[in-house]
Amino acid sequence: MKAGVSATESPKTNGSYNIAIAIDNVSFSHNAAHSERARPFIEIDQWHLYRGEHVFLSGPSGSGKSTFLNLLSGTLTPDSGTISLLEQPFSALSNKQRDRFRANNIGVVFQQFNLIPYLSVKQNIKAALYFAGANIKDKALDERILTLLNDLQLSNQLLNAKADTLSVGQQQRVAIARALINTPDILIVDEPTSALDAKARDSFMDVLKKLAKNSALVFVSHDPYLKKYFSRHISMHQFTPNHQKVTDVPTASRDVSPC
Amino acid sequence: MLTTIAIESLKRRKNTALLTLVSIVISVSLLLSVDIIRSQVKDSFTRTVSGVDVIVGAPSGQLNLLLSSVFNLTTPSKGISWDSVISLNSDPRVSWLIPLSLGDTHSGYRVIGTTNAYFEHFKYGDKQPLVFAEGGPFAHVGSAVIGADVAESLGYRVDDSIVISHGLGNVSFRQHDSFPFSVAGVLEKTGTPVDKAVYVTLIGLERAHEHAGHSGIVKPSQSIQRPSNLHAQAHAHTDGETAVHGNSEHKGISHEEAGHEKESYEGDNPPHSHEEEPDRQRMGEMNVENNNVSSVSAVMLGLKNRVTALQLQYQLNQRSNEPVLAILPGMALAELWQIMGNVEALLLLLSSLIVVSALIGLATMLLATMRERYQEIAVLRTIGASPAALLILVQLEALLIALAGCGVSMLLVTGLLTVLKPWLSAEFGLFLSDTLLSSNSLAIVILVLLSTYIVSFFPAYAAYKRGLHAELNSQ
Repeated sequence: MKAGVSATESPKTNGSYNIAIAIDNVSFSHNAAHSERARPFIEIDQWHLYRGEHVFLSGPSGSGKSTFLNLLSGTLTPDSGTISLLEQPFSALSNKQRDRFRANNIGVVFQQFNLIPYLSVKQNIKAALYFAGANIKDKALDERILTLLNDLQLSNQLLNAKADTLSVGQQQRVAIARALINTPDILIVDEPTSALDAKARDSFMDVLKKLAKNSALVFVSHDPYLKKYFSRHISMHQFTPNHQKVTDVPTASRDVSPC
Repeated sequence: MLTTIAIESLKRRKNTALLTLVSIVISVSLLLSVDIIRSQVKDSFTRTVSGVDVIVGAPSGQLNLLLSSVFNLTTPSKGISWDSVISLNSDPRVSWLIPLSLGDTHSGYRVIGTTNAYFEHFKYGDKQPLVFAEGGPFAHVGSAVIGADVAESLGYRVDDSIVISHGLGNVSFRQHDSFPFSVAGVLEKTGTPVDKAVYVTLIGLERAHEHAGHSGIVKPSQSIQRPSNLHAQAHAHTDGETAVHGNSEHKGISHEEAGHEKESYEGDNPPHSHEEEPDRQRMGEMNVENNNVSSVSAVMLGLKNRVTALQLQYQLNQRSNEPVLAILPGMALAELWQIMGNVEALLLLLSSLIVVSALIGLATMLLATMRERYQEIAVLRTIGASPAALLILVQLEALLIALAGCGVSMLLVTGLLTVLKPWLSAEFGLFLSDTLLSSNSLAIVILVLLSTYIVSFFPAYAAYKRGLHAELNSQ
């Protein structure tokens, strides 16, 4: 836990930790990345996200959104500075610890290709449980999967269907189920609705907002229409150095009240 | 869970996985068969004869004598005179003696003229004696004893009458049908060439030949014809029952079939060897009649003291009055095995290389599909799978295919060899035991799996490396 991020900053006191994501003096340049892809330079002085807080992150393609998300989920490590997740200095963990931490505490939903196509819906969700270290033979987990699918308005009959036989909308909802099955404190959702029509998009957003009530949610989209679901908005411009560096600390405008 | 993922992943890539499986099944089956047949041949060969110290025959070659006298394979060379047999029998070092007269067949089975000494002294396997399942040894000149397979496949029982044909082919143009034999006994199954032999008395065989010489009628082939075997071409063979006329100044004359009928003695008066009686006691007690035959193809000797075998062999081979070849079956088998050993090693090497190439094919298959799995790798990484888990996943897929391949191969090889068993024993004199898969087969399977594990590191490392640098939603 970083000393600079003091608990008094947080108005919430429920739970053992309140700050889900704390970014402190992080910089990252594509030169340090293994990837051959060119990346924008990212520089963040201070940025916090509280538990249960939902934020809308916008920015055009190539603005560094996916780099930012990779930094958050630990698949990329910053050149300098600290990223703390759930008040743990995430960037200081070993690779293995990071993998396990990600499995347990971070749920991720992408625009598409969230599921392993040759596994059934149930197997996909169970794989997430497995890598989080859960006992997948536990019958209670089956119950939880069913409840979750029910909440997502997915029929029980889909349980044993192969992931790639589902419609895109169904796949996205299964992806949420998979992301939520380990009750993560942090949920990263990247352009989840771009493959959905308007009706599916609205029902998806409703379900997501409802089920992610207790998680810190980073919602990435370039669709301004979706802004209305969020009271806190940030733009990637704030994280890239050719713009004004900002210290984006939580304000009173947080859209979700603690529960 | 990883196993489930691996199985589902393979199921999804059914076609490539199946083709790879087939290539592994073929190669592993080949390796297993080579190994099984190799060890079975060795077993089968070494258990064929035991307790026989020296085999004496006409000078030909060590292997030829061994194969013709013990394995009932190859064409027997010319024989040794009865006089030599008598003198061998009187040798103080010799405990017992089995004369063998080869060169005739019955329905494709080898006919061996011998004496009751055969059933008393011949041993196979781990010094196991021959046992009668039915009946007993020769009771009179026209007695015959048949092996288990002969009895089974031709349906013969005690007291059935059989006619032998001259020559080694299935289709013989000459049958000694004026001198039929009656079955006196049926032997228990031994899993050696004994099962496929018809034993008749030495004298009876000689008489049958005389009768044939008399009648001189060329008969069409016998009614029961078995599929052609190795010796179908052996019609123009050098005859085994060389006639020696009375005294030993006439050495064995080999002759072609066509000339055969002129050879033997006339009428029902068998030739009387002149010095036949010196050890009548020993020979006679095993023999229903006097042993006044002209010659035999080979003689098996049991010694009072095995230590004298080498000495006796040396003396016999140095003999000048009638050159003979004496072999020690154990040494001859070892020599045979030395020749087979090289071939066997080569076959093993070749089939191992085929297995290796099949495994490389497996690795190539997995490596080739790696690109289309980048998405899947990214998803797995996202839900917390470590790069090591990806490594294990790919290796698991390889091992699953190899394991399935080995399993199918074992079933296939066992099934195939069980089906081919009668044919192998009929055609090649290879008698397979009932338990085909040995600890050797198990070792091969383990080696194959181990090699798979090693080879699968290539695609698995590719997955690992990809996993290491995979980022969220990398598309």
